[in-house]
Amino acid sequence: MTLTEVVAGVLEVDPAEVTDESGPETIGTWTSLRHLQLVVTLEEVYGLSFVFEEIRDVRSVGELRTVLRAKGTETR
Amino acid sequence: MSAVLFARRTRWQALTRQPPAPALRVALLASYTADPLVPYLGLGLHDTGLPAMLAVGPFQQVVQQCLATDGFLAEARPDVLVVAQRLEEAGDPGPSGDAWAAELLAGAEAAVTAARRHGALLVYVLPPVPASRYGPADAMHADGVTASATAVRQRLRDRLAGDPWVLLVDADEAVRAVGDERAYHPALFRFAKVPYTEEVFARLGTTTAALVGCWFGAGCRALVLDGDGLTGGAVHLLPALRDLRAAGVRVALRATGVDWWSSADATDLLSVLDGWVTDDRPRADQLAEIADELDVAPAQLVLAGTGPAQSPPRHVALGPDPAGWSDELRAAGLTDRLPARRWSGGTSRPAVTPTELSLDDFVAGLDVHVDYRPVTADGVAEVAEVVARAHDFALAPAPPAAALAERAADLLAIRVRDRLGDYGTSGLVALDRAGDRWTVDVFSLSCPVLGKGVEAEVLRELTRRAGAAGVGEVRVRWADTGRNGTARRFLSELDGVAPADPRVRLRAAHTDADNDATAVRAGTTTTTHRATTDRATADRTTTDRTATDRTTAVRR
Repeated sequence: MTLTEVVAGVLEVDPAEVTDESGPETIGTWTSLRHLQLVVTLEEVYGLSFVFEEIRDVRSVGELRTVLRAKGTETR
Repeated sequence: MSAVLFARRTRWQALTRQPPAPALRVALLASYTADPLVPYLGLGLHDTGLPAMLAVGPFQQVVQQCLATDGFLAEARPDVLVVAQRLEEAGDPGPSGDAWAAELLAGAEAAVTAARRHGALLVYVLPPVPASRYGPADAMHADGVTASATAVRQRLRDRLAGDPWVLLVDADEAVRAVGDERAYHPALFRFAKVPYTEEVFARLGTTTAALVGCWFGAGCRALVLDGDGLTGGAVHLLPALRDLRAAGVRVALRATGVDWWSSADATDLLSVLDGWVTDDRPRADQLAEIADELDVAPAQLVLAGTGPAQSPPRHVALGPDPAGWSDELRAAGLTDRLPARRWSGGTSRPAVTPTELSLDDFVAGLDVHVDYRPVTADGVAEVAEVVARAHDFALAPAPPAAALAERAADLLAIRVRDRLGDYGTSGLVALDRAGDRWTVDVFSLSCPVLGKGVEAEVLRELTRRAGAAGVGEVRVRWADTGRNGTARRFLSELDGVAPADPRVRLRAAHTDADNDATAVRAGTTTTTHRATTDRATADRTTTDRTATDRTTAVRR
């Protein structure tokens, strides 16, 4: 499952709407609760853990991708 | 979230885009953030033939919302009220868990009262035994978490299980089924007060939907085998089908083609069938005929087969191995029923009765104290985070931390505690002090402290300070953010807030993006509500603080 698919699925948006610039300011359903569900889903899908600071500070799909890459996970 | 749960959420999302006409209105109140329950409960009810419209009320306000005659429940007008409380939000357990019991029984009584008032079915979710215990000896400890929680759970069961208008769902079963390791995620609770993982919510939702379905008579009355995928394997179903018939479930079969019987090698099924339809008509027509012949409602049919689910009716998926089909049918819960005879052996009396508990009494009994302190440069980040997360009670979209840092001298941090706990820094006020008027342009409170009278107490304190400074008016300037309905309702009824200093006018000014102060509402200046400042308390607790530090106590 790609990052785009996970983001689109959790946030209930069309995958075509998801870009690296997408974030709470551009996707209306990206609330704080959905943000956490997104993080927890990514943890399960990719078998990794986010630390509190990462959960708190990540504000866009591109930043999520960067965090995943730093943990050794490349995803589209 | 597993792929299975992900698929269920996706199904729910698709349903919400084109929702069927709801058969039920369901309201949820919990001592925690219960929103993750919605897709699983909603989907479960839909698959049970009870499409529902679900609404989640403010969290950690179970008693307040249940006792209020207006507000969330009045708007939701529920057919089903789901109430879930946890022991972790109930303060200290007290000896033998008595304090926990008092808190949760009060919530349960309030829930019963609210359900009666709305003519609703109450689904009460029994709290799980907390995962945090007193070490390896907890099970032996007279006041241990296990002993206390078990006692409270039993008292709740004693009080509620015999009530024919109450269904009990046990969250402990869901947590145990998932396992402690997978039932909790610290970040979910820390950031959003979500106590469980999706797996637990999925189980709670499925169980709740099944029980509600049983209550409304939407359980399985007849099983229809989809013969199109059963060729050669039907004999494996016989043990489960005999069990279903023994439990009162009718069994029928549909298949495509008039010569299905000759090709299916399934004549063994004839001994357990109440009827069958094998022809070339559409499946929906076949099912309608079966329902008519068996004299059951179409929603009470359940289809079992190897093909993809089609809705309606409810579908039991049979796997690729026929040897497992009987077990899969038994696991589908088709014979689930409400007990013919309910547990009524409880002897413990409720801590309170509905007539004894009023909303005012409850809030007064919380013993809420509000501390005020100035914000230093080092403290701006903390209050900025509180403001950024306080959507329900805010005057405007959250200002960035940098903007708050530039006016640190205007800021007053709010800390709240009550007998259930210390909520830490829970809000912020920003005051623009100009001439004879103080304008409040930031007033944010986090959700855990709402419904405790803190909102009014903070404004009373500001009027007290304004009076001491010789200022004649405190004006609260607010705008609709689309999410700050709680603040809007409170400020629209500012008449109920009496200034602590009768010389000070208290006003709310509604603004919009283009227009400043389009409407102004005044707070009352009557003195029938006595000022709520508790000077004795303040004096006791502020001896070594700056001049602007202060504690006040909420009274109603």
